[in-house]
Amino acid sequence: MSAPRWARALLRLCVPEPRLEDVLGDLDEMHHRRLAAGNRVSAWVGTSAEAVAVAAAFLRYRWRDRDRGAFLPSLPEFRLALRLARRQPVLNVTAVLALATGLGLSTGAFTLMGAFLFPTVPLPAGDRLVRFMAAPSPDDQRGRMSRARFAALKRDASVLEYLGAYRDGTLNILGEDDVEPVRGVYLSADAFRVLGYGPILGRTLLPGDALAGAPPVVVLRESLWIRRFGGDPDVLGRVLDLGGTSRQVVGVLPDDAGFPNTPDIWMPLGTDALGAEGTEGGAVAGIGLWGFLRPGATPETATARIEALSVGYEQATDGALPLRFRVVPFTMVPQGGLMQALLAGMLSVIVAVLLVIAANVGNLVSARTAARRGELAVRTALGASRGRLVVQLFLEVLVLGAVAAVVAWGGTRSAMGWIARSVDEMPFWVDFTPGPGSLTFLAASTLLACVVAGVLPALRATSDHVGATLRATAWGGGALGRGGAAMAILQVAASVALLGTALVAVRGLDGYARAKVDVPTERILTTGFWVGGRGADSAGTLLQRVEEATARIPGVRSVGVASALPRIDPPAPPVVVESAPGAPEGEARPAPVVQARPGFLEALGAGAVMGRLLAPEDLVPGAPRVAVVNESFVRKFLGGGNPLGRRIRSADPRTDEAGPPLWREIVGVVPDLGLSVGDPELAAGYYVPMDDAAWVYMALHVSGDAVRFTDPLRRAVAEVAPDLILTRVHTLDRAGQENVTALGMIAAGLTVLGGMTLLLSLASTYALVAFTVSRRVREIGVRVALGASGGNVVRSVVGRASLHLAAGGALGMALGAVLLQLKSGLFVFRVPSGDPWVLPLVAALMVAAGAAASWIPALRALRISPVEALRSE
Amino acid sequence: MGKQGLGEFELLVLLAVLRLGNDQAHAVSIVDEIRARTGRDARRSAVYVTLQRLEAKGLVSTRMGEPTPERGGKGRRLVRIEPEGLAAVRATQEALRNMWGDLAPLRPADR
Repeated sequence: MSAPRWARALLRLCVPEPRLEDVLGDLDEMHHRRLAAGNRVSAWVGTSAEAVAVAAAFLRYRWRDRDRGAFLPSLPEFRLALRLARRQPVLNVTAVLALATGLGLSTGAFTLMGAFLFPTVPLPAGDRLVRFMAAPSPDDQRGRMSRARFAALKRDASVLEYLGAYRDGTLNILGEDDVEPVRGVYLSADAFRVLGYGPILGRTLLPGDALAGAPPVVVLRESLWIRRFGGDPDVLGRVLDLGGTSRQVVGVLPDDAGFPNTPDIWMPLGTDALGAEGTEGGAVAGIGLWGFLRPGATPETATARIEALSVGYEQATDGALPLRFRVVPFTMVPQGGLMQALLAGMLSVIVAVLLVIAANVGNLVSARTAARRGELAVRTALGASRGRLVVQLFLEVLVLGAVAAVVAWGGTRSAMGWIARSVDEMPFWVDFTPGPGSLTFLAASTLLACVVAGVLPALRATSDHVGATLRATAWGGGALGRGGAAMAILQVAASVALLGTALVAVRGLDGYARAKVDVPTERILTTGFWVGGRGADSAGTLLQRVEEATARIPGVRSVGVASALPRIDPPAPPVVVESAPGAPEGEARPAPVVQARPGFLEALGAGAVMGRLLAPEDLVPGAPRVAVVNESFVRKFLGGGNPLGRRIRSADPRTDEAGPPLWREIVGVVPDLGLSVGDPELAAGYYVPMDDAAWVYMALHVSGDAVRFTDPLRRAVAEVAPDLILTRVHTLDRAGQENVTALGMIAAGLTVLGGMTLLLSLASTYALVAFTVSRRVREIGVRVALGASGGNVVRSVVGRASLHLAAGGALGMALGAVLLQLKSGLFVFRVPSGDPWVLPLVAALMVAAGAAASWIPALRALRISPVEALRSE
Repeated sequence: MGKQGLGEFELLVLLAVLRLGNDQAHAVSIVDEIRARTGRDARRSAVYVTLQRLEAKGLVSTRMGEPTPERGGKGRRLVRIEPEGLAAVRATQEALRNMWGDLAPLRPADR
């Protein structure tokens, strides 16, 4: 029983040749002693630990005392590595692409993770920037703040260097001939003293701007200034109508300034914004508190101090609300723990993918190195140590890795730039630019990948045990030894499963994107806006005023508001149809329901197939409860019978109240209007009069080019409701585009990953079979000489490879089936399930491609002439 | 002798070689000797590199012994002290004795 093989291999690598025999002998001797004294496990552990210590000691000695050159590659070795990289372009390009994919993905994930979880706040003392999180209070008064309480906190909170307040100020700029919604903020006017933002033009806000009676002012952000005023320096002094309030422009801040919510405009938070002086009852909602901690203070100490101050304030003040706050870092992400876990999980999966890729590249490198056995033998004979050869082989992989890292860095930078551009409404402190941290991560992962892809095959290639090398590097062994076969199978399985799922997703996406909604989408302009927080009555009145003003725009045929648009899937609670009197109720089945106001169905261009559409009197409180169903609903729920007069009710357990069931009478039927695009099973749905809505969509049916109605729409709405912010104004055919984009990205990601795995599987299959053939030239020659048939030879070469391909294909089909089962959770819409052929097809293609990849070297084996073979060794 | 003098561990190794006798000293026996006499947890890894360093300084010389089965058919490197090594040990002994001089023996409380 001799010492563990790996321990001896390690010592062979690190101990200089003259000392090696002695050291290895001692290792065996000590291992025997340990075996005699204890059990095998403890002997194995002890000997392994000792081997590591001895190896480290020799390395340290060589590094410190002399022989530094043994580790540092020489210039000619670098040149050789570069020259070799230019040879075998196909192998090298495959390796570089594979490594670049893995490195790019992991660096991207790392950058994303850092941007959210370990951000650098771009402010002086940004690491001490905090905000107050209101704890829930009994009657939900959270976030309400009075002037007296704020003043008390600001005066007494000694843990804070500064305390400020802000309130969202998103509103419309009402121009002479256009209306532009901009994001804005009302901010404590003394905040700029601590934020350190310097204006490009004019000045920032000053404490005087917030005093009662001060002229209303506004500070613009650079991008708005350029977009709206063409960067005109004479903008100072101009007066803007902001949601009905005239404000004078007093300054422009650079785009780098983004506190607190990346606003386009900053306005002073007037002292009157916090309620009347001295009264607690005038506390206003929606106020956020923020500040800078004093050096040395922590969010915890600040929370405790604010808690004590709040208690004191409430005891001393009549009618004060019981408010509690938690002081947290300004950048704290809600559910940060969950997000951290998710991101860390994602990163570790991607790093695992990187390592699998590296191991594959290792297989390729093994195959390449095998062809250079002669060269390595000559170098050994000329006195090169094993360590030197390993360094040389590692260098060659490092050249590939360096190229891959450059490609990955470029890719990561442009991908992050693309993400930053396409995702708006990001917090001002989120910076997607890959920085020095990402670069370090990339360097470390490149090194790690090169160690896996370069050092392991190099150790094997320079091992003394030629027999072991042969066995280990044949198909199924690979750079990772016995685990290689399992890895090869898993890899084939992963590519089949990923590509199969991607194909199904793409088909589903295609179905969604192509699904025809029988509505003249290009002549319908839509927009979404928020009317919540006003109470149902005033929201209804507001919507009516908005509808009336919009309908007056010349060219608008009809206008209506609803809770969802075609292509934007509404909720689909279960619904029950009333059977004939005395008969049992039908089964509750899900059906999408849209709350709509009169005019909405008309705006979609729909006419009543039977009965009537929704009418203004349906909205009157106490009016009979009615519903308009679509034709699919009649077929699915009513068996095609006459629906008029039949009754339905929602059976949603979440909204069901105690009491008699609330039935709705069907008063009309409309054609199918794209209630649930992409999911034919949810096509049957109905419309009810809108009684309460927070987020609504408005549809305008116009004559002519709908896009031209954007500005008139904004102006008309601004006239009756200057504070209403219209978002996503576009034609109906672009509604739901966000879904398509997101799903497209998922499908593209799956395709890239699956394709990469496929390419790698094929490349390593080819490389390993080719390698096996090159090692077995002599044997094959002898077999052919002894009369073996071509079929026999080919079978012996590709036999194991085919076995692994088939096993991987089968496993991949099973994995893919599981993935598709999970699809409903994965995709927003339902993907067609009637594609039983997709997975077997992908598996068959994969196996065929693998077989083809192993066939080429197998054919080469057949061409080996016995004479040549016997001469070759 | 070496102009820089001997390190403490080098001295221990040389003394162990002297005690074990020429051709009886090798890495394993040196470790055992140091452990037995000083109670210190000497590492074989440290002994290897110390021997290599001492050999490079010309204080010891080594040769390979006969292979044995329990060593997997490998011989061991036997250590012999050279005159320069002996001189270095003497010089170190002298230096220590002079430094010690008439200092009273240290009791534990003085530490």
